[in-house]
Amino acid sequence: MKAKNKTPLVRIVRRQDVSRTKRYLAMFLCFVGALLLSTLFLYAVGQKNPLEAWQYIVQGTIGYTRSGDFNFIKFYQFLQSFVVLLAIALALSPAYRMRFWNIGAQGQILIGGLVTSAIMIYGTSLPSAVIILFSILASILAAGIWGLIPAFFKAKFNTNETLFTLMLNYIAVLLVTLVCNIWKGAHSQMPIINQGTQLGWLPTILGETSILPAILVAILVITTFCYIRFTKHGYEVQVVGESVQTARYVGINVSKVIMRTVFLSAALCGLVGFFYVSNFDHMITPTTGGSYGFTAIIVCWLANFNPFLMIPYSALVAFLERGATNLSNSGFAENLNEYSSQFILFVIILAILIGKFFSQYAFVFRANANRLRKCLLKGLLKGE
Amino acid sequence: MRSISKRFGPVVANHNVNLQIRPGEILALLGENGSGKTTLMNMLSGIYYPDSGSIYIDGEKVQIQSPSDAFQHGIGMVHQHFKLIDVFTARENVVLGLKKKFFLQKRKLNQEIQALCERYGFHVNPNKKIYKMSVSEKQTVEIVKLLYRGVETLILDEPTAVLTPQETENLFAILRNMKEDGKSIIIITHKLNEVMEISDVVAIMRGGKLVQFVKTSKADEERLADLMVGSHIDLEIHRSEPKKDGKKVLEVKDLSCPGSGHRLSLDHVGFECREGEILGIAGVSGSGQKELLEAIAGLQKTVSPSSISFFDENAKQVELIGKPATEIRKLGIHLAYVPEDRLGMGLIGNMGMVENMMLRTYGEGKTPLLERKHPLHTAEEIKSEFDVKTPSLNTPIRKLSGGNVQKVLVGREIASHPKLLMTAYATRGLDINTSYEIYNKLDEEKKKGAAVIYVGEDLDVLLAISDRILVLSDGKMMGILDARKTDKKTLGLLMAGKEAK
Amino acid sequence: MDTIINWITGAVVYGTVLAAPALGETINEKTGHLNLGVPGIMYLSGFVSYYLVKLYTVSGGTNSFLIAIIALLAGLGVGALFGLIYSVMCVTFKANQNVVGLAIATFGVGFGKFFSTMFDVGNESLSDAGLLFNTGIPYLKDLPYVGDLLFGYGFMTYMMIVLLILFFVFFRKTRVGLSLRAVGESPASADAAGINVTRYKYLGTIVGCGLCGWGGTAYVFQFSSGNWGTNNNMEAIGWLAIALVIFATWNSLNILWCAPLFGFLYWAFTYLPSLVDLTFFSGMTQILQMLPYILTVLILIFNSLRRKRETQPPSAMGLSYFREER
Repeated sequence: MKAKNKTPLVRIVRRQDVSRTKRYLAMFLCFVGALLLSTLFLYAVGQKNPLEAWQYIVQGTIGYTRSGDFNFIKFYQFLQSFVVLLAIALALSPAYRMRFWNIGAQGQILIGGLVTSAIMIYGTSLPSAVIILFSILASILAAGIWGLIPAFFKAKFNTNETLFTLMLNYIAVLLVTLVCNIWKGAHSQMPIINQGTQLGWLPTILGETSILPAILVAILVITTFCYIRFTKHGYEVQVVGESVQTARYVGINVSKVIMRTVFLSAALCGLVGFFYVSNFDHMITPTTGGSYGFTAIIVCWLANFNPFLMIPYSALVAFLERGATNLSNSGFAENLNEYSSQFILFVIILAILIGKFFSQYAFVFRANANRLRKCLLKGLLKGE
Repeated sequence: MRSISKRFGPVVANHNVNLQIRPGEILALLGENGSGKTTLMNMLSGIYYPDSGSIYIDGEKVQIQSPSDAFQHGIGMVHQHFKLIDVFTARENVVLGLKKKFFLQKRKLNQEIQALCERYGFHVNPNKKIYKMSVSEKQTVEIVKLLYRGVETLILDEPTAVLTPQETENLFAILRNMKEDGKSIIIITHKLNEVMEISDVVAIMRGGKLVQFVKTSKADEERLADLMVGSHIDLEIHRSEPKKDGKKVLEVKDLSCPGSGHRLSLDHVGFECREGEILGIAGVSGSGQKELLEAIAGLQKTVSPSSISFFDENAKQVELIGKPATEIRKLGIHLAYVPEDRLGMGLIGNMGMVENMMLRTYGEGKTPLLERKHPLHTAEEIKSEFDVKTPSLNTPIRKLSGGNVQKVLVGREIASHPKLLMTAYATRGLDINTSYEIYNKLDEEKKKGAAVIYVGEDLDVLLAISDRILVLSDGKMMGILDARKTDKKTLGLLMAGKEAK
Repeated sequence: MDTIINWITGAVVYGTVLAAPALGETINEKTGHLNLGVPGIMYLSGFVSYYLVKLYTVSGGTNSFLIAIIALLAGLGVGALFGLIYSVMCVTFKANQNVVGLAIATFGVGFGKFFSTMFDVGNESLSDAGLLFNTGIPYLKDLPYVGDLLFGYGFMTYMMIVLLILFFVFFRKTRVGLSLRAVGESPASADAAGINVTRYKYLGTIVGCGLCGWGGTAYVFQFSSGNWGTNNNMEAIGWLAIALVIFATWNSLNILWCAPLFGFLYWAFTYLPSLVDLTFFSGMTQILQMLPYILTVLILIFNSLRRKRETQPPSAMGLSYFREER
């Protein structure tokens, strides 16, 4: 038998109680690494000064118009993406805390938007305020029930909710396509609803559609935090998420908690759909909400379901997205189109995940093994 | 093994341990839980890698980096939690991971396994799926698996914990056969009588260090116990006399619970509990103990005509079946069940002590908001009363050592002074001192007039602490014995399902 | 009669596209990885195979054997690359499998769009390559009745049938297959039995994701006959593939009939209305298009209702493994 007389080249060791500073440092280093890699990407693909490319990206959010004024249009576009992402991520977080992997946000948004459109189209005899009120209630209820379907089966039979909610997305898309086909009639595409009367349109603040949602989402951040941290419901959600067995054991009605939480989660997504139709777009298409339903899942996760951490993460995603669009529109480099943000985001997300790893584990290399032993002995001597 | 050290974060599990074993020898590794026995053996079998120190085989220094390295050097280990794959057959488990022919030859492999079984006296059906096997069958598969790999040094981690006395006898007979065959065997245990019965040499560990290495023939039980525990302690469990004419607290009649398939996990069990007494429940693990306690606590489905009646202060009879768990708890019936992973039931690893206290009480009060003051108080109380070692009351309890986690769980249930206290495996994996603290706490509750149901694994403890002992075997009640008038042998026979003579 | 034959052959082609990622995902899950990245992997793989073949044909290449090889290698390569990223993240860096999977799903599609915009790939059809991937077995395909039904498919269909059977045998009868399954069931037990868990996890993921990549190749060349412009169904197929694994109860042999069944339902919206007169309602198309998804939901519910041990997912799926975990 061959005797191997070497210690392993690399071993993974779990670190205990890494200080907060070190954890953030690990994250920060990985983040910087990702930025460098992205810069390299911008250079390699664009074949021009990457710093200038970054400048265009920044100007996607904070830019100036030709006349030198602050470009509010771009900023409000950013704000809309940011607010929508944050709202969906917040909506998902209670369900995720409970380990209910709802990836059906897209469908729930569509359902909320669909009933809002229906009320706006068929309720034209009502005053605008009543339409809005009904739309809010109906979108909450409809999306909530849409979410309740998989929740019910999860609670009763432990049916796989990940794929269930996913399939419901496709069913919702087809449902919206079907209804839109009927509504648009002879038109080539779905027209803006109540364009002349503006019935059921949510009032704007300063003429901008994204300010009111921004204020509401700020409130939602705090509400979500308090709901999880300070209420009995929130406590139950955490217990069910940590251990269903323990929850049953202490007499928590697990099915009830699952259904209640998912209803809430889906209802909030439905509300996002309401905002799309009544506030942002004033119409519905099968692509309303775009891919935010999925991106928000990643945001929610990276933030460890912490409402406050979701703010920077969703801002980052929205920032890069607007930036890439700006970069592409500016015609700075032929090859850097609006999808360049995808690469940068992917690298950043992987980097954050790696950063998380290094805040919990460490690599020990062969050369370090001796040093480790010395530290160990020193620690022992001190301890005794 | 020379000067082996290993640490997990700040915890030093092994410090400068030296150990040796010869062919055809049975070594008993004796020590309390947490003394580092298992960690040491895990390094020998390649699960952990030592931080320092080295291992020699036949005088040659070897590196064991993984279990397959260990196999190459003829070392194999039967872990306490079996490392078997439930949906595989015995054969598939036995041959798993071996680098031989690409295709599996079912018939040939079966023959090889049969030959091995005949040689040492095992009984294994190679085509049986693991999840359909009893615990002792699984253990046999583990041993066959190692022998099939040509292991010369066999390590067994607490092999008898899950066996009846009779099954233990069988196992020991097989171990002796293997010893005859020239194999070295290391058996990890904390049971002194087993050490005396089976081993040739005994190594005692305490606090991660090897404290003694002697020939078994030159040692006696008391001295070993002293070495294991460190300071001489009173091994007497305090048992107060049961309360005279204590009122009936609980009456169970014809209790049956559904099990897997058509089997009943609990089959027409009936007994009663009185205040001021401890009713012990004995049985091989998985004989229905868990179902029994859970049925009383309202966590288990029952089959009619089961009946569980509880008698409150005014001797008013309350039927428990069909009541939700929270209401049963309000009546003063508390259950402290310590599962094998300690955290699985009753506690949340990622929460601190305070939040774990809240598990039982969070629903109180009318506001939708949580109340944290009261649980904080309880947590402080338990911390001081049970001497729980934790950096802070909000430190996630999964970071605490197993013993401390358990104190939190058992402490929480005892602290509320229930009328009927049920504990299962309350001292599982605790060191002797803490175990005795808990035994005494149980006795105190009994003196205060509570009825206590105690499910335990260690027959000596059961005999010493209980007033009466109910024996379960395969879900059936084998009888209720007076703990003061019976002995281990009788219990063992009943546990194995044989009627007492 | 022709409608039914067309329906069935369409179903088999769709089934071919579905079978590749379904088999890949089965292998992923057998080693304990719920890989949600399938749609992204398919999308980018499909694009890269399309683009490389386009480069080859534009530069005057006509060797059909080479075209097939380029397309297959490109799909496999991109898939394997994603598999490598996935396993580095999930096995070595112990990242959450759902996050990494969803990131690959989202950004794989993003990359595909990035490159197709960058290289300005329009609706140009590679019809020669498309034809190559849809050529049936010579002579046999010309048989009356059974010719189209049994022998008229492109080579990837037969390749998938063979692969599905091979992998079934591989998991049941070979040591490596046994070890792979063990890693997904209980990495700790596999480790104790001397299996190199990390190596097998990497192997399973890379091979599995590589096969997912072939889903993209089959989609572009066999399903869309060499068009890139009609890629709007690819993501849906990717997700359905993940659901199909559950339907097939982690048994690659079951994919043989499950995948065409999904194809059959998928094409219902085209063929069913003309078979039975269903055109009275304008929304019928969408309702029929919902069928595969509704079926999947029913399968999920049905699967959660049965409790047989052999039909449950690998028990360590979704968990990362660290040997020294206490």
